[in-house]
Amino acid sequence: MTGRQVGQAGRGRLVLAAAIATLAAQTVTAHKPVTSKYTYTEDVYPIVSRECGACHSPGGVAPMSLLTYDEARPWAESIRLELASGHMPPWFGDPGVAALKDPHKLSPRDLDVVLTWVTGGTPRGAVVPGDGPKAPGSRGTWRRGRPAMTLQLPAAFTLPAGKTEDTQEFVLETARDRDRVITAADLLPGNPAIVHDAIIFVRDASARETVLATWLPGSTPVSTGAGIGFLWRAGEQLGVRIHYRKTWKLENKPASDRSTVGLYLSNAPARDVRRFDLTAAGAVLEEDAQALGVVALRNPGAPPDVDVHIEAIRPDGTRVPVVGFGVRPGWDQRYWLARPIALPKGTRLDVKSTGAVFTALRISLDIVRPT
Amino acid sequence: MIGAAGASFASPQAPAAPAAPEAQTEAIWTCPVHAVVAEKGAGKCAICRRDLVPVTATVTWTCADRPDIDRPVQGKCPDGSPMERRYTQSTHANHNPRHGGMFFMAPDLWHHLEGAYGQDETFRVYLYDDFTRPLAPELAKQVSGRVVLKETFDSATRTTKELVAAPLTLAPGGEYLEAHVGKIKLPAEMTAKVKFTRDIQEYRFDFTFPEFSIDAGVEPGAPAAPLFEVPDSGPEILRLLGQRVTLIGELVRKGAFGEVWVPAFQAKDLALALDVRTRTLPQASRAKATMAVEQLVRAAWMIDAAGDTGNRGEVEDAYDALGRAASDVARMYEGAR
Repeated sequence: MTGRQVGQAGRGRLVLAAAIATLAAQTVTAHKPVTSKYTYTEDVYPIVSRECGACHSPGGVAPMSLLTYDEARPWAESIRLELASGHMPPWFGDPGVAALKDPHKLSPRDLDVVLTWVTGGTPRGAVVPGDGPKAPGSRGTWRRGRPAMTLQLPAAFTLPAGKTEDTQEFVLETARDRDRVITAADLLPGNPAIVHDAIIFVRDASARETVLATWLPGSTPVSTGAGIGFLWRAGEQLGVRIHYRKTWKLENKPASDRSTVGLYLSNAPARDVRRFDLTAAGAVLEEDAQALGVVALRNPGAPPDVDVHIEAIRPDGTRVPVVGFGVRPGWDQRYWLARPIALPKGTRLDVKSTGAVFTALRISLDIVRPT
Repeated sequence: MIGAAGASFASPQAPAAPAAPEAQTEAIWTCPVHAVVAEKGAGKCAICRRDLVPVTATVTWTCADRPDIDRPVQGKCPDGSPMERRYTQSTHANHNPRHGGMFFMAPDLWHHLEGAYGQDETFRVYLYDDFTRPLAPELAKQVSGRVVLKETFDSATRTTKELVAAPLTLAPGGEYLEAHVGKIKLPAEMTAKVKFTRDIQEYRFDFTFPEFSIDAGVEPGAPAAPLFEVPDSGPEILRLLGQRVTLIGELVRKGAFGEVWVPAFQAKDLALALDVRTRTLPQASRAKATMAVEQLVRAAWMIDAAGDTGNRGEVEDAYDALGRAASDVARMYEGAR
């Protein structure tokens, strides 16, 4: 009636048999019975506490805890929407393009368990003695162990009562005497309830920034690996840009934070991780390099969902997929490749996306010179 | 520099309904087909021997000889005896048509409706709440809408232009809205565009009636999905997966949105059975294979949700996503034992 053609999905691409008539005869004519074989206490709690608890716990930055039945159940429909759309958990790498380090995705089975529960009557299950809100054990601790250097915000920052969201930049230290090699950077929120995400960076004299880490609650900082590191040169500033956001629980109340940045350093000589900006014209490498990862930062006004696919066209004409990922509001991220990709001098980097990516995002590859 | 909005969680479900006394809930075990069964623990249905499943039920209090009594708190019956528990499966437990039509849930998750096209050439929209009870008259009076019989769709802008439409008017008694639409060739396609209250947006419900709706009264119990067992063999799983994708396509083309969940769920169960074989794949393919299964699982749930709300465009988008994921699954697990 609408003139739309029904999707041609999958037809002709799968090995199909002609038992359709038999199948059709078995179909029913109404909605599924609303029942879930999975219960909160037996099946859902172990998943949400492991995969979602860093944020969705009492005192966490998420608007709601999911760590008790009574807390999770009213959010069933929101959970369904977020999981079915792929907006949660907030990690949008596409391992179908290239393998990535530290993926944070629910397994297909876990996804199905939670979706079955939220749409299937949200049964409670047996009540476990002592079941109650728990903050994850890792909160308040450095997940890679004690850093070599810690830099606290110079003073506490207060998000006033009338403001629910703000992004603040803090310069923490300027390297004075010598260059340092940073292998990983982390952040310990002073107030986990308002620190939504953060970017830790070094900035040179020409105000060019190199991102050391895109920090999200619950994420474990990734190390650059042996013999590789970000160079923090003498005279360069080290800073952090923190995105503060209150949940409804803190509405109309002031909230303060004094976070600490932790740096993991190496004394050994290292190949310097550098930023290689991608442009609409197609960026061409002027030296041999290895790609280690990609950073995509949203510009103001960027569309809500952009999917990006980066491909390398080598001088010999061969095309190599480099990385695929999505960019979602509030979740600027770096994706580290599981294995470096060799990009010879003269390689052109081609970016395809679902939106006008070069006005919406700033995309750069992390590159090092080959060994 | 950072976008203003992160996770777009909506508020907890707040039904747009009149305030009611807080009802108590309990976990009970019931039959997927016979909702009347309410047991304290796992077991078999006394009627059909299916395995019972746990659900959350609302508890009210009633009297054996006065079923019209239904109170949120326990008290005494008129004869002085203590009231008995009555279990009602919680909201959305029964999405079955009551008048031989097609049943959809509104995207607000509270209103429900059933469209029927009778031999009197009249299109009727029966209105329900989240327990599939007829909508209270004061709420039914707020509902307005029209039936669209012909429209064009611009795929570039995803907008529609209505060419033939008729207003839906509330019938005396307020149980349904109706419009005389005349004789339409079967299968008859028509779209109800309904506003349930002034405050919420208009929703679209796409109906395809393969034949005239015959009002034979309430169907007892919920329908059961056909019994389905996932086979052990990888090639057989892939063969069945292909069948399911084709069947979903047939149902989508027919507009049988109330049925698409069955093959969609079977497709995801088949894909999940392949996922446990991922370890047998070459290391380099595993992440890609798992991603394909994940996308298929998500698409199956999106088809289920879109089928519930009866929006053709959303059903088709979800089906396209499922088809792409199924192709990826077939490619990745080709040769899996």
